[in-house]
Amino acid sequence: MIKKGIGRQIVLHYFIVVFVTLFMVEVIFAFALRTYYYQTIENHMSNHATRTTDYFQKFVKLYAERDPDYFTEILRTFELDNTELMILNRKGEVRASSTQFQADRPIQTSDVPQAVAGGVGKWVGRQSTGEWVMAVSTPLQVRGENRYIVRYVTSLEDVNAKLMNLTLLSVGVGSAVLALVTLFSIGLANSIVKPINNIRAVSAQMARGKFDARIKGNYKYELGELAATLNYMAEEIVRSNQIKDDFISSISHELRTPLTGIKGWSETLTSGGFDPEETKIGMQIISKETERLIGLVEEMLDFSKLQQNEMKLVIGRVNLKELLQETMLNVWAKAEQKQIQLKLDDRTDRPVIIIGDGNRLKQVFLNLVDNAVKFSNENSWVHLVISLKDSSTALVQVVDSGIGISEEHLAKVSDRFFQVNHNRGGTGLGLAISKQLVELHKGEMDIHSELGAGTTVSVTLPVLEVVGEADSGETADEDAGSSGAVNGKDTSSSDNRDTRE
Amino acid sequence: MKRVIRLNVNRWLPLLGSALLLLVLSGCNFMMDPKLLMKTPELSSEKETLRSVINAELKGAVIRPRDATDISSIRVVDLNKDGIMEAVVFYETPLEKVKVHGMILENQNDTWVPKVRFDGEGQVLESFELKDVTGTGEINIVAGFSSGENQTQKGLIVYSYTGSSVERILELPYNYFIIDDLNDDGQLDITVVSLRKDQYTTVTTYQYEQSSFQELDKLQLDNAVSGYYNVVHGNITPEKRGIILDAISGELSGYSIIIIMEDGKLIDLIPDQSSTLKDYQIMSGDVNDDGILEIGMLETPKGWEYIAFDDIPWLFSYYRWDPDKGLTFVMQQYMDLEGRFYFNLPKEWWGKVTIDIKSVKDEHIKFVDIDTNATLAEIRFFSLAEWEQVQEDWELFARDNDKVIGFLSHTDLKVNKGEKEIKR
Repeated sequence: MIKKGIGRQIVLHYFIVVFVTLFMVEVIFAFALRTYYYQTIENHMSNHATRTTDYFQKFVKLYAERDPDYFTEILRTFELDNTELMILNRKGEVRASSTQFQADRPIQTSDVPQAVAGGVGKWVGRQSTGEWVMAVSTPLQVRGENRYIVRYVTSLEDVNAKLMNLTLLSVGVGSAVLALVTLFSIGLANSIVKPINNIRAVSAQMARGKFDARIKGNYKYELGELAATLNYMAEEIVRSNQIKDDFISSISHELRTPLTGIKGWSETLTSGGFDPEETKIGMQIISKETERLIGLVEEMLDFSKLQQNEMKLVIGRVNLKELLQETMLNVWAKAEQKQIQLKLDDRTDRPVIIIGDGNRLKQVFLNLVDNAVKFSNENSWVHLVISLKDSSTALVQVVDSGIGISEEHLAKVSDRFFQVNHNRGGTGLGLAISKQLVELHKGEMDIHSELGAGTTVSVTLPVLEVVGEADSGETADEDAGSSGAVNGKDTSSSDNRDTRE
Repeated sequence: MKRVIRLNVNRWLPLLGSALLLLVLSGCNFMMDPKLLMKTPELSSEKETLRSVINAELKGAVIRPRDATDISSIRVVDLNKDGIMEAVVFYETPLEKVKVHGMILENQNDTWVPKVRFDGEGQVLESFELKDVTGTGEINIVAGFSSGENQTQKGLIVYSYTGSSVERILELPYNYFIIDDLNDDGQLDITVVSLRKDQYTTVTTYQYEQSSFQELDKLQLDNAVSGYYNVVHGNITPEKRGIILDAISGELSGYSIIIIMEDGKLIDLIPDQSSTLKDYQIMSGDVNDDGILEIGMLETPKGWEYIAFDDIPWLFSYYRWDPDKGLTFVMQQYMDLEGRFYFNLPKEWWGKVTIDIKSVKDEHIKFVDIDTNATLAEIRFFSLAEWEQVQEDWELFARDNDKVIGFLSHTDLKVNKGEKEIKR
């Protein structure tokens, strides 16, 4: 009827729960009903017996048993409709019976001894005729002694038939309820199974690579969360794919441009026939483009190292101000081209010494300043501000008045491969590498930006607590020399690092 | 799949609806008063057939004998020892000249066929016994008839059933009759007590010999009595059977006569009526269940000799006949004269215990040792409220409508328990 699966499972569970509940209720009901019927009949007989006994005993005279009419009188007094009345003696022998017959033998059912003991005895069982009967015996006191037993016997055949009918009826009602609830449970199961099936189908599509598939429908609670998570996952997969594709295309572009120059010039030069001046220009271009290529590869190497946590730092004392001045000198020419004014704003009153890898830090600031220059308009300015946030933290801000970054891009700007505009060239790795390098130095890098108004990149770095230290000139030299010894870093990495300009 | 389910729903709905409808419609007798379902139990098919045949024949005119020993009206026995069961029943026809009749039915092929109807006497069936009084093995019908008024002469008739007709083989007037074997010859005899009120009483024993009843002996008791309040028969001594007549000698007083048959002669064992005279009519009978009859005597507890008759808490002493010593003491009991309880005094108390003189009948009775005056036991009447408070100490003796009678023992005597049990 229902195909295998969670739906059938749910329906089955409903069925079992309801069935067990109904079954228990039915059993209890049947027992309660039986008890009620039997008890009522028993009470009817025993109450009648007790009441009549009280009444009868008022009129019992001493030796009344000798009266020839004694038992006839008792029978008449105790008579109860629809019962057979017997008067027994203590041995269970029938002294008188409402049937006109003599009893065949003494009554030996369990109700008699109970009555002899003074209580109300009850017995339910089959008579010799095969009929189900209930017998209730009560003692009849004569002279303070339980001399006789009043025993009522009534047939339970009608009662049992009625009980059977009622039980069958209740079973019928129970079955109807069970059927109804099962039908309901199919509906309820569908409300759970449908979304699950839907989600399953969509996720199967996703697994086959169709990441544009989305789970539709407004589901609640866990299912809703599951659907949303799956959708988000698909989106993320698409986005990261996109970033990768962008990266590959931009990197290819970055690689192709210098390669084209190199190829063009090398072919031109091979054909020969140029004056030395031209040959010099060509060779310069080839050299420059090669350098650019190396830079690119270098950047990617750095990045992959950072990515695999294999970046080694050559730790030494670094004078931050000197570092910034060197950086400025490095980008001076580029800034000059765009008529951008570079300015170092020193807001400290003492040298700022940092324990770290001077080359890596220089790489960070070069990247930041380079970016600032790159995204600044002509005839504008870029400020480098150095200050002490507190006695143990130095703050370097690179402030420009350039194009800025929109808010939506701001969060992703330091992600790898992210580029706001791919036409500007570059790998999109610069900021990501810078950020990770700063973090390697136990510092932080923050970007504040407003679209069209400019960008401020703040770098905080922990400062070496200065205790009236000497000047920084030698410390800068020192770092290169002592670097290998500081903490066993791989010195071979220093080969790779000095080329970043 | 969904189509299937929907189809099922469509098929289920009418079923469900009809089930609910059934429930609603049957709601009116869903529950019934259980008492209305009670039914008189069926008799065995044989009895049922017999009863229906008798009812069809007699239209409910069946009568029960006025006899405390057996009041059943339909009796089944093989009367003429032919292997076929017969049923004997008496019925009345108030409008006819003969008002009481008997009928014999025979069991033929699992049904009952009326065989013979026979006439009775008078208007009331006093007693009705089926016994072999002829010694032939055949069962006779011994029936007593009366005109319905107490203490008048009744008529005793012994019927014999031959298989086709019923014959009367003995007809006697009587006041009391006893079927017993007084002469110890192994054959039942019939003893008839016939009373001439306030003049004399004759006791006559008959036995069936050679096709008719012969008079074995006749005894005339010359004491004028107005009647007998009790007649019992049974073992007078372990060997000898006899009759005890409790005679009425005054409004409340009486005396007992023991009659046995010795060498074919009826003998009055206690001709001196004063020796059994009692101021209260105590029943003779087998009081201690030893199979031998005792006669009761009233005994004033020691110390109560000068108290008014009505206030005395009488003790009942029972005696039986000993061939050598005459009447011998058997046991003693305290009897509530209103019949609510009696209390058999334990053996150790006999002759040593009396009832405290301060006791009040129907209120508080104290049994005390005659020598030490120590209280041995108490019987006390409580109201229901009082009983609630004392029931931990007192044992329940009997319960009246508004009184509870409790028993408190100061010795190791217990009601209905253990060896020291007292028979109530």
